[in-house]
Amino acid sequence: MRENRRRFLHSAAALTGGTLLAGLTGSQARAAQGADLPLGVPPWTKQLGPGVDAAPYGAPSRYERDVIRRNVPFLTATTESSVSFTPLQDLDGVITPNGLCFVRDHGGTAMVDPVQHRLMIHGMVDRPMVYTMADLMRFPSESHVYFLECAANGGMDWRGAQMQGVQFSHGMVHCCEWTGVKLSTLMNEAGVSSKARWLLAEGADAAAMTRSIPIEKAAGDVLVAWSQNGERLRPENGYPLRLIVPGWQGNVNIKWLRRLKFGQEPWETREETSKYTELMADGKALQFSWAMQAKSVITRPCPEKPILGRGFCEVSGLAWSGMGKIARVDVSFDGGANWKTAALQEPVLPKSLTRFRIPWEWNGEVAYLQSRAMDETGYVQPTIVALRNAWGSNAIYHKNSIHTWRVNQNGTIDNVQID
Amino acid sequence: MYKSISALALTLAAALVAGGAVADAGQRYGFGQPATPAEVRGWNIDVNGLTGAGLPPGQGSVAEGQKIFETKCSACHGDFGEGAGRYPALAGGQGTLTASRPLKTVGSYWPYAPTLFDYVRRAMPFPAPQSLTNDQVYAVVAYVLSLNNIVPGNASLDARSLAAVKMPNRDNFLASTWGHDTRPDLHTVACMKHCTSGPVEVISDLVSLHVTPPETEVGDAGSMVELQATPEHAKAGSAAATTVSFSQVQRIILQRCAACHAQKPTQPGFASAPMGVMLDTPARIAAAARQIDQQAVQSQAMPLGNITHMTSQERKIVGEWIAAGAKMK
Repeated sequence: MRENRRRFLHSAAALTGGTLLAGLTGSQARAAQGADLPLGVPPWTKQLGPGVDAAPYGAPSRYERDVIRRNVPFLTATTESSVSFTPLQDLDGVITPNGLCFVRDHGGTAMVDPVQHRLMIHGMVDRPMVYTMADLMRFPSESHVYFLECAANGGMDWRGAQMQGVQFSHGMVHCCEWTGVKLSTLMNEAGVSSKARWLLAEGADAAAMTRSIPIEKAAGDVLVAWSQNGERLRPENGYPLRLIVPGWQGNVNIKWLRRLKFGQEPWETREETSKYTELMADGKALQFSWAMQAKSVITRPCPEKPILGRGFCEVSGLAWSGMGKIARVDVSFDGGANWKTAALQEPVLPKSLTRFRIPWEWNGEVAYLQSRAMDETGYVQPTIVALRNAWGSNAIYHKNSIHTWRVNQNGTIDNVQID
Repeated sequence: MYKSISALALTLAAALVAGGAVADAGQRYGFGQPATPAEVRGWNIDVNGLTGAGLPPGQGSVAEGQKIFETKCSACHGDFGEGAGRYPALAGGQGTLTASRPLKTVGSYWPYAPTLFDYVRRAMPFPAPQSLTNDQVYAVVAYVLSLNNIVPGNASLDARSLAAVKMPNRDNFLASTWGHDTRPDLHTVACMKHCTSGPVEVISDLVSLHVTPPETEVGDAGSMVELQATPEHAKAGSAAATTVSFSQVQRIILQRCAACHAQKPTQPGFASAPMGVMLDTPARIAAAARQIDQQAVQSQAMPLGNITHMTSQERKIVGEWIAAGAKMK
């Protein structure tokens, strides 16, 4: 219900007029205001606002109160093992504000006291170690911008178009600047055995989440992070410490990280056997499909942000790849028959969200908008039909197909799938 | 902290020199404390699903497990592991992995038995994780495996016997390794001109499907997303053949009307319900039946511009409910 209501709200804000001025074009707003013309002096011009100490930690304008994470109540039995979605339709650029980053918890949000928190490193190491947060923050640190996407992002649309809104069809992704110490630094510190092939990462939450990571990735670009977008991690994103495994499915990026154990075999945990594996049509399942492959979606227009009128319409969206940089994004306005290459907003960073934009003249007719990402490895985002032909419809995870928005004659947008 | 700017500069310069030195491979910083064996024991609870390494001493029987399960597990998973509501089933589903609606359970899907011990010990029961003794975990694991006919009903499991259990679906996983991805290669070509022929063919249309979150059942809570593209109710040609229930009507009204017509509209810009008409509770919907009939069924002036895509079928349902007396049941 909430999803439909939200869809309604955004559509109505744009199109029904009345007092919904925020979403109206200038001429519509003028018509709606009527007797208020000529423009009056608004109350905030005629009185003092609050002082600088009114909001020691700032919050968005009250008029932005519908820019929030949302969940889909029917998806899961409880909200503790569930997900909330990033409102991609309301965001510009590529950085996700911390309070809007999607949340996937498996045992609720652990409320960890950083003074009591410890990170243990043991197993096949010369020197098993325990670190406090203060210890960890003495190490040399790095900051990098990386997207983080739940492996199940888009999974609700595997069988057909089901989510009327980009928040729900693509909102299990966010992108932050992460700060922490390289895992390789800590591995060197503990003296990881040359015979160790795998790493088990464990969280301190009520799910005690565990995933196995191959040593090659661990020794590469993985961060043990304590900050996102310049401030300490939010509790729901792993405060005070989490793993950042760039480009890999979100579940591997263990939140509330408390333990790293080195060994020779993968642990075959519940989260990498019964979950986060992709069941194919023939009954076989793919396992350890870690990297999120190239994907893109148009975030404006979208069901929540319909087109307000004929004429110029900037089409904008996000592209990302767990394999590296986005090399190109093409956009089609006719359901994939013809494509034009969109402009990419600099900087284009590896394993980061990348913003694309392309100008369009909407003539008021039905149109089918699609975007198609290509990454620096040459991988091209597939169609839903191609993906289903290869994977079947029961994979749940790693659905990265080209997404189609139908523009209706009244400017509203629907989620559809086309052949 | 620093006495002067020059002292700060000197300190920074020293730090840069030191930084250059420690960048060399093998250099250690020496922060943190060695982990004592006792500290490691406190957290070292992982069990390797493949080898059973890490399985602790202890044992438990199917019969003991049944008692624990009925007390601590069945409220969510059902007495026989069939699942309750949207909580996951733990038993059954064998032979369904190639079906259109596979049922993935411990018996039908899980490749390794020790993984079940590891997971139950670390994360179950859901509201009280890490509260079971090792013996209790062995017992619950034995019971769940017996529900799947993987161990006999008189079985008792310990580290050795659990590690020896072979799961039915064990050989059906294709594992990627570092640098080797098992995903099918789609070889997509980035065509730019005249890539398709003929008009666009919509194969799945959310609007015509009428799939909305609260109307869709989901089977597997843990996997979140096993939904259906074409629920039966969406395909049904006529709901009018049977008596219209109030819950049907309420769902339509909440979906199509109540964002504005509510005591506290969620629509930004609406401080109050337009024309004072509120349709956010059963009583209010029933009380406004005549206005709903006039505006949404007869004249169809509402919803404004039909922005919420209220269908003629829905108008018909609402109309029949009103014609039948607009009863709240």
